[in-house]
Amino acid sequence: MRVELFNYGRYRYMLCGPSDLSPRERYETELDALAAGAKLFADRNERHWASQPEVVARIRTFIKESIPWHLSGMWEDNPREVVTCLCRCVLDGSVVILRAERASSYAARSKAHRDDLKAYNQAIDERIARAASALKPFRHVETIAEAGARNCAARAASALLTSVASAMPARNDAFDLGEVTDAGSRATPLGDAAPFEYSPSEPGGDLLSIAARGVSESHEAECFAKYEIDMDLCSAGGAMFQSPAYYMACKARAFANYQQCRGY
Amino acid sequence: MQSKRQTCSVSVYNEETNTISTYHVPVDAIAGALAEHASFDVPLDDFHNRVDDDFARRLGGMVLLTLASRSQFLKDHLSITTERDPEGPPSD
Repeated sequence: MRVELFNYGRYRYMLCGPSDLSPRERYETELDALAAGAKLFADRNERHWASQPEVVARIRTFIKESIPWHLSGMWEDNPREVVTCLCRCVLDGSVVILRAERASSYAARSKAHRDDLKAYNQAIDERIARAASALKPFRHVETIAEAGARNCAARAASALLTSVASAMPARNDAFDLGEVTDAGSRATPLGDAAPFEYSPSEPGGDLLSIAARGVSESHEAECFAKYEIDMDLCSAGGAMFQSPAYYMACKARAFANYQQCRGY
Repeated sequence: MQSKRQTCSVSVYNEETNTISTYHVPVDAIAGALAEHASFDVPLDDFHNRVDDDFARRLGGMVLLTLASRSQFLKDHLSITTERDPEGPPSD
């Protein structure tokens, strides 16, 4: 286990057990790292180390994790004693101090990538959420079937009222049939019908694809491809025939087709 | 008056075989495609019904330019006299 002892500028000084180093040969960089660690230890000020609670905490963690038997050898658990314990272990070779390059490059890069990915995923999630909420009917829009049902109801009501009216000859003059023809645009028995809800069992109800028709990117691209083909023809004809009117008419048709294709 | 089934001419340039193939097909066979696309209309009245060499040159040139819009090879080998830019200022 390696624990950071100090962190100076671009270097970190790590505490590690001998088993953390490569077993036999020492690479040049590792020898340098060991020499730098030894230098730090030689220049140590134990009192200064003990005065920094976070350093003492890290040392205590290291001792507890790597060489727990030394904890029991301490007279008392105070900062000075912890630092002394560590120094004893370094002197007898059971702990080494190693200088390490600051882990900025790779760690920072991977963190940046993680952040990028997170932002990207979040953007996608938001777009999905937006698309989902856009597909939700936020107010009831009457469908053709409902309009038909409403008209039928209105006609039935009208017929009923007419039959009632004709059944009351004495009141004929006073009966205002104008109200009857208005029934279609007013509140009807279906006026308080349950709002439209998506149910997967609707016949022919691939609701998502229907809702997306005319707005999907692929459909737009298809429409634009057709428009481009048309405009190539218009340009070719315009280049060969003198009349700009032919070209303008062709272009107008191309644009009308394009708009129709996109659902406008 | 048309007595026979109405037909149309379709020209296809195949870059692999470097061949322009022209078909003669019934209009209703490709009615679906025609309905989705714009046409370039040339009223023959504007030419006093004179369908001469010049008219053939223009019509053929239009077809070739259209095919060349999708083939760089054909475009590079076109040597056709065209009018001015269709959207440019009028000639007179």
